[in-house]
Amino acid sequence: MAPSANIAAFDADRAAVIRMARGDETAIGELYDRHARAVYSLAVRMLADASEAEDVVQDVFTQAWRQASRYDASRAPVVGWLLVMARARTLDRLRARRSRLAPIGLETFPTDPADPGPGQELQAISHEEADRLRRALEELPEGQRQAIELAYYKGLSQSDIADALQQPLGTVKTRMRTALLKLREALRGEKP
Amino acid sequence: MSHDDLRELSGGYALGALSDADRRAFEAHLSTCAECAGEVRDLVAVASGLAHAVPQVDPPAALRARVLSAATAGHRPDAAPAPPSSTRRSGLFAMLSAAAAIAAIALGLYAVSLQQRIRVLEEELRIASARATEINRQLVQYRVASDRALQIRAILAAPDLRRIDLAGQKTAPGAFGRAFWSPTQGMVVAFDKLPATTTDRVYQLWVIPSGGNPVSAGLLERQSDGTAITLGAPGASPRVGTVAVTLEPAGGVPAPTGDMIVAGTLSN
Repeated sequence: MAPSANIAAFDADRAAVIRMARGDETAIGELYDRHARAVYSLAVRMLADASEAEDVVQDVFTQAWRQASRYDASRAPVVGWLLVMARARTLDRLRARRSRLAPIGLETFPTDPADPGPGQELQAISHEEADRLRRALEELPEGQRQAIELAYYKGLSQSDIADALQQPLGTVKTRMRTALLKLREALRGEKP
Repeated sequence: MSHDDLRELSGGYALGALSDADRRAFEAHLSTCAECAGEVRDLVAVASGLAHAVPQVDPPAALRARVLSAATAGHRPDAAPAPPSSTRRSGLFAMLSAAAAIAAIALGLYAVSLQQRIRVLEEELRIASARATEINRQLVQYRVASDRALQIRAILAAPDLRRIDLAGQKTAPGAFGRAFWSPTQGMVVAFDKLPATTTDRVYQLWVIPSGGNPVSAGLLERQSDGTAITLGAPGASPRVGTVAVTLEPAGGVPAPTGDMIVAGTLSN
């Protein structure tokens, strides 16, 4: 996925983060106006709860304000940086939901794995590419689409997905790979 | 694991959904296999696009002021650190690999939530044997309901699904039913406007193969609002010609004796 988005917009975002790192409150307002929608939309999709999604937006912009000086423009566009935070905060909330609902004595949570390797931050993706991806996702066969959505939007492991959908673990593994390969083709297919 | 087995893990790895053991095995493999490393790079890029591939919804207008004042309230941004810091969630791989085994999920699939409920109840049973009787009763109820829901889903999703409308007969002209029949998965039938019955009578569902004798497909449980949903007993529906409901003595009968309530025939 080559970045095909607007260079000027990237520059404006990077400049806003630099100003935000110096405590400029209008800068965070600009970033909110440009990117709150993307953050909120991801949180809503994952939580299915508008009010909690609003809290995630607040968590993300609070974290962005505090960590603005740590933002590394060479690793991700600003919206990618915000969406990584959004998904992490949302997965935290999904985990907390489960622990509230779980009676005593349930299996222990798996510990978070350590950072497994060189990061590959969210790359730039244009609106057209995002639309194409969304359509391709909807067109996947149900078993493949469910496997991807449960893993990405609900943070479930492959074995939990296999349990939930009553499928063999091997089937879930294959479907996840096949589905992502298909989505990759959908994203590539219309490029010159 | 063979290379084929390892390669199958690439999707799960890109989505952060591997078990610890699988993840370690796959990462060890990645350091030696350029083909898989290349595939993973691509799939991680696709997976990261999923953050953008959600329906876009505007947050409420009032949220802006709340967020901005809360975010900046009383805090100066952190000073720039000298070396690049690595917070736990700074890498995409860390974010994608933060697998959270979550029991309660909202999928919109009734059967899935019941499966989860079953696991929760099984744990409670193990821990508190004193409550075994009540929990066991609930477990059976949920298992039955879950199996029903899964079966109904399998039928409605079957590629060989046929539909048969059941019209009210003389004794119950307002009643009607709709049968969804898959020769491979079975039959589920929904009814409405069934007249109330006395306690010594019950509605019985029949499947009549063309040119054959009626075969019982089970008894209906009429709800207080006149509706009923029933799964045809397995084995009753391989050769559906006509589907009918009659009113029989409580407990059912081996062959129909009572008034026909609704009936319909599969059209070819």
